[in-house]
Amino acid sequence: MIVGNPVVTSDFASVLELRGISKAFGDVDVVRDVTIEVARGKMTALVGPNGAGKSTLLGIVAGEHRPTSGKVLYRGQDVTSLPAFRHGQLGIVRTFQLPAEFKRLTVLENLLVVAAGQSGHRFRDIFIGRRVHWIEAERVAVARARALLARFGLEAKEDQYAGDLSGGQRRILEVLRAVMADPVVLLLDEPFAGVHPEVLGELGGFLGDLCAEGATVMLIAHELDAVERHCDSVVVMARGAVIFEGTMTDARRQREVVEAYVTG
Amino acid sequence: MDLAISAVCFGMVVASILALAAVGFTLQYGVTNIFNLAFPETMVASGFVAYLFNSRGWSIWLCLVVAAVFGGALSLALNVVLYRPFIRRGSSFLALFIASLATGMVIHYTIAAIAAEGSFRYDLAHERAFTIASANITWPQITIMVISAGAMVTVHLFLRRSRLGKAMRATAVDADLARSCGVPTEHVVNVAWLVSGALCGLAGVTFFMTTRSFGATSGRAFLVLIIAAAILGGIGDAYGAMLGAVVIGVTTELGAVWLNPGYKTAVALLILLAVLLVRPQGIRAEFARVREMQA
Amino acid sequence: MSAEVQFYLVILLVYGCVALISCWGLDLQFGDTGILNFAFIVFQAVGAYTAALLTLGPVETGVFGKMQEYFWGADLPFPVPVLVAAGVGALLSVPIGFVALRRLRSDYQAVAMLAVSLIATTMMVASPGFVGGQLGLYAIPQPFEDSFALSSTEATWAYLGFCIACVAVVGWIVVRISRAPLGRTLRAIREHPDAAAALGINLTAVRMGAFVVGNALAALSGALLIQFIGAYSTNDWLFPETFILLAAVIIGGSGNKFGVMLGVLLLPVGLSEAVRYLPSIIRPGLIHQLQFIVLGMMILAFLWFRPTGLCPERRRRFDVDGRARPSLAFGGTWLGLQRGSLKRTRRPADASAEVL
Repeated sequence: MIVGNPVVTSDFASVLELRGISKAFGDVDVVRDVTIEVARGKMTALVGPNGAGKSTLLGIVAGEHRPTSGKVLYRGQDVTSLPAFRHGQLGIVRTFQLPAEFKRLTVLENLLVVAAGQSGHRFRDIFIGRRVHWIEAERVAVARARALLARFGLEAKEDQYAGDLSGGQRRILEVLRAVMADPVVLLLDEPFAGVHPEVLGELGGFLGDLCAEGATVMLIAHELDAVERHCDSVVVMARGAVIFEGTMTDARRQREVVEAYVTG
Repeated sequence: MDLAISAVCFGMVVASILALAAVGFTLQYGVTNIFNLAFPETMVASGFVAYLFNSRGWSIWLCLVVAAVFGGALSLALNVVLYRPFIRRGSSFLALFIASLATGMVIHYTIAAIAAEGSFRYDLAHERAFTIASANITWPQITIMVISAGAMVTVHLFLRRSRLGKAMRATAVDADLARSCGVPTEHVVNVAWLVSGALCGLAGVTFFMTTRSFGATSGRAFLVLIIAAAILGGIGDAYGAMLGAVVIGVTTELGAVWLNPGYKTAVALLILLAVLLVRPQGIRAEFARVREMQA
Repeated sequence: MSAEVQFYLVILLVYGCVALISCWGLDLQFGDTGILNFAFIVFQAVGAYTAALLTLGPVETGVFGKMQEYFWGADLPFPVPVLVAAGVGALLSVPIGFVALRRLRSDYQAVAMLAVSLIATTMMVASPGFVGGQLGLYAIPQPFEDSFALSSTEATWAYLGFCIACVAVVGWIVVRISRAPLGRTLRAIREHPDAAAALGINLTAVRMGAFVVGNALAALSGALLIQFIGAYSTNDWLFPETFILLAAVIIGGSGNKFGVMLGVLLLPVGLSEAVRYLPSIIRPGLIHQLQFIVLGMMILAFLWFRPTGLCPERRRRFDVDGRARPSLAFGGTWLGLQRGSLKRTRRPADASAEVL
């Protein structure tokens, strides 16, 4: 389970709330007054032309950037100014746009790197802890990791170095790694990029299963067909602002959305 | 007060030399994004090459030119033989850092092996030009300041007016973008190393001109002064390096007046640390956003 | 074996133990966690000076005035000075770690550490009253001779025994770290700090841990060294010294504890000792200089042809039932023979070939 997770109040319908988020880098307004509410168990896609501020927004939710103004509320708790690792510990886990696998760890090991809290993760455990505990915990984690790998046909590659996998395989690996951390909110930056079309469906279904189990997914994607198939709703951004929120079908009909994609 | 004024004067001489080195260092960093730790050793090597000709009777000012050529050639060679292959291979910053350190070591100890414990002097007349407060300013010192100023102006014109200079600035800001706009980045990188090396050579000779005598071990302390000046002014930015050189040069000399002279380099080092902690993009912070300074 | 050869071997072994302990510490920081700590040698010095201050007693004033200059001084029984030295090294790591382990790019961080190292040397040379300045400290008593009234040879052997015991303990610690989930966390931080943070790992805390433990080991090695040689000055911890240790780690195999041992045998021990017996050609200092030239070239060669070192970091595998497969310290490779993990170096960065 997720560690250090002070549940502030009882069940929130919206597990993630962004209020008036703005972010400027120097003179450039990258994100402008974004307000979104994400309900629990939903898969939301963040779409829009390049430079719309999607990655930055994701980064703000993940604690990588601090917004110039606005708040990020996670389960009712204000997490805006917490450091990135704290977001991870609280259950907000993200992936990255550029490849971020642990290159010189094996595929299996990549999945075993999770947040601290278990025995064997701290320096004091080296001197005082009992090895038996962490061996047991590791065994459980290995079994779980293998199951995840098997779902995507990667079990044969478990001993390969992660850096030697193909681009699409690495993408999937990163998603699986994030899942191993028991996320409450999963933030995925272009998880479909470079993934083989056949596998894409499997990935989408997998994310859907996660949502059914209670996790919440917010992802950035350019593959609009996949988005339409798997996501519950869509947030369209252009030039830093949200121009539409709703289903993909409705989005396609909105004039502003079409224009945004054409003009960029 | 008297001491302070002479310290400032001498500080300006140091700053002139430091400016040559710092601008060279930072230009190369700006274009390639790697710390060339073999830089001070190249300085020393150039200084010795100048000595080689000077001891044969050539005028020291002519040797200065020779040293500049040598410095440029050596730096270019380092790029072609060492750094470029490693970069092409995708080596990390850390690997390049260690590689440049190792190269610096090899050069340093090669010089030491050849020069042994000897101490050397240039054949140069240190005539007093005039006196400010209690400081004697000699003609060579004035010439050094003039040369340095001239080099700075040349660099400025080169960066702002010439096509190659503009190409260099473009590459420094965003190499990939520059390449896709048709800038011949590999050529630009080579030029950057050449220019950096030439400035390095000038710095080496001028540095040895100001010391009473020099030997194989003279260069070590200079590395930190150079890096301090470059980072203080904003790494990658030539104008920042000039500013940084003045600050570091004057501060260390003033520091030597009030503190134990042994602490001179320590002052520069502390400035460097402070900058890295508080504002690693430096005073001018030209490239702050684009350059990934954070891990 | 004659007594002289025996004695020579003992000295070699003590040096080896000292170098091994400090290289394991450096490997923990650099090989495992990716921290390039150029101030490492400063911590060895801290350990040495602490141990010296705790065994020299107050400053003696002989007929000609003060014998040597340092502040304070105590006379504590063995092995207290050694343990305290390690502790002081650990404590000093904390403020320096706060300074140096910021979120800087790895080469900026290295520059910061370099600055710290040079500041320390400069200030030490300029402050003779602190711990002897440039002249350093000497006449530090050998522990076993003093406390246990053993003969000189016996004391040396006893000291070697103590050093080997230290090596065993330190080896246990570093191997344990390497095999624990913590070891994986360290390597993850080395590979991609942001991704590690995204998973909830507190980078600063974990890096600080590795930094502190590594430096404590450096301090321990310094204490062992000074009590053996009996003298120590700023010349013993100039910046090139860190470089030799770093070379041992890189060439031996960063991230592999046995590889580091191999590196130590080859470099600090092997090269320095082998060179000792070459006749002084032309002039005395030349050998020393050639040594560093060779060292520099070796590092470049290894960085290019074999960045993983002679004994690469071993690949961790798991059994069918989920247990970590017991490790061969060799990592399944021995010099030239690999099991397919190392590809030819011509191609751009293969994951396994790229170590730095």
